Amino acid sequence: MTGFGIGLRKQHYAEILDVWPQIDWFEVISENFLVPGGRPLATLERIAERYPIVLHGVSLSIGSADPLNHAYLQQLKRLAGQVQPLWVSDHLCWTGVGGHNLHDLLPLPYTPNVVDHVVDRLRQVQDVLGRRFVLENVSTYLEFNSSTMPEWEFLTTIAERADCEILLDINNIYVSAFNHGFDAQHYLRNVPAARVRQYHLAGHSNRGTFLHDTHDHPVCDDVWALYADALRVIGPRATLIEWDDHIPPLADVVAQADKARQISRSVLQDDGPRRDPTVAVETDHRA
Amino acid sequence: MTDLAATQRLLWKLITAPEGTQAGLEQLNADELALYDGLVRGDGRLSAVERLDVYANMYFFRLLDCVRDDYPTLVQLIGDAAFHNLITDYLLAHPPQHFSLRYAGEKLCSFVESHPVCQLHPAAGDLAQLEWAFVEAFDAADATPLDVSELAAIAPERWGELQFELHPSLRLVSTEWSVLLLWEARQGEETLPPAANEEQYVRVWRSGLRLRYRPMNRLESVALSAVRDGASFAEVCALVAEVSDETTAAEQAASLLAQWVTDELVVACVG
Repeated sequence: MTGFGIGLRKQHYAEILDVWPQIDWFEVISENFLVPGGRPLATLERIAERYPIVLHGVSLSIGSADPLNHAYLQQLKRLAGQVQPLWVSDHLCWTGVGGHNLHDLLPLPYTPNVVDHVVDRLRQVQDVLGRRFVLENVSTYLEFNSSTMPEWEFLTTIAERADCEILLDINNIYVSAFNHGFDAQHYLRNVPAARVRQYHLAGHSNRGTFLHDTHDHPVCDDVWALYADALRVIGPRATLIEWDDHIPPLADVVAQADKARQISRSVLQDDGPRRDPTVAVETDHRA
Repeated sequence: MTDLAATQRLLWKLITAPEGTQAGLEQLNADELALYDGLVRGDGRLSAVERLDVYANMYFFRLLDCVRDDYPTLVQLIGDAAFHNLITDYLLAHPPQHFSLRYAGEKLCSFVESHPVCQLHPAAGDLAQLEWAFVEAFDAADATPLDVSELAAIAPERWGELQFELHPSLRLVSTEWSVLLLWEARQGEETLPPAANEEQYVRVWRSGLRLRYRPMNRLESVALSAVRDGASFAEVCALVAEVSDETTAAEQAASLLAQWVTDELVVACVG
């Protein structure tokens, strides 16, 4: 599956149900649909009849020192049963501790102990969900002095040991590379291509001293260029446009997905066809 | 993972500090300060404190935006600055615990009641209660309404014992101030009228996917509350007789029930 999708946002519900846009798939924020009933679930049900769906969560908190929230996992599993997503993803981060939720994607110290902790929890998550999980790199604004490895090694080691897949957010690499002064190209070249299931693209804001992953702009030229590099280095993958704030008309978001499609086509024509290593990996190998 | 837990607890404390990371640091004890020392990498572009402040700002403003969406009329009533201060105090008292932002504003309606903002705006607590009822009804569980023909088929001798199951989205709001007018004014994008200090009863629910509301008199409010709490039809009639006219109680109760069925509030009857 290497198509081009957009995030499903409530501002577009009515228009989507009216015009059924030319888009390969939708990604939905899982938590928005972990509700008892009403319009959100009814809308998702209708859209899932026409488009493939990917579930993308923000609350797994895989790196938290708190115990895994099994009630959340069971709800997520139930939702996955209802919409039969292509895959289920969340972020390599922690979102809360001590029973409190910060509702943000916070960075972890990149240490062997934290790798062990996350790997152990990811295995539990994959056992509960009965599917291989997809883990996304986040934008970060701080690093820990205790870290003993770079972010790409942290992500790669966890993905290899937990046998999970990677959602590579190109914008997040770009943002974090600026914020921490690492080489985005080096990051791309050190991620295991065969484990990359999906790309994310989004807009960010330049705050002068740091880049802010705000998802409220079109994708910038530098991130499009980095996406083209990823296509060359890693290969074509399912690609999603994220837009979460100051959400424009549906057509504008679809146009960004079309642009990703054009860039992908152009890069692959220039460089010749490249085998997609994820094709051989079944999405739901444990189900 | 004690190191990780201590690190995350410390960061949580700093990120949620109401006046920013620097002020939060000044509140730490000696053990926490020792842990903080050298924890976060700063550089010439951004210090460790400034990097933590990025997260602190995101925390506050994400939650402010989320709760603002849940209580738009309350924002209009008390104003942006007062709402900002209210949420600052609210997050200190009720930092989010649920995994979903959907519940971040859940306790605001009770919190407002005891907040100083109510001295200036005594209807604020009632208004918050009404707005939260709409939030809850919006994504409450689905249910199929009872068809009136099912009621018509019930033998007269069974009616006394009948109990009714109501739609899961139904919320009964009773307030001391007439806040529905304020809510309606905001829906019409009008200036809010002053709220009167008059008791008001409103039911909020969903028909299919459509949110609905209807003001009630005290009689209906008492009867519907009783039905929700499991009262039989005979018990509802007795309540109606207490509140209203004894001779027409059964008739009035039947009329209320007919209205509830028409409004798709009743989803089942047992007994």
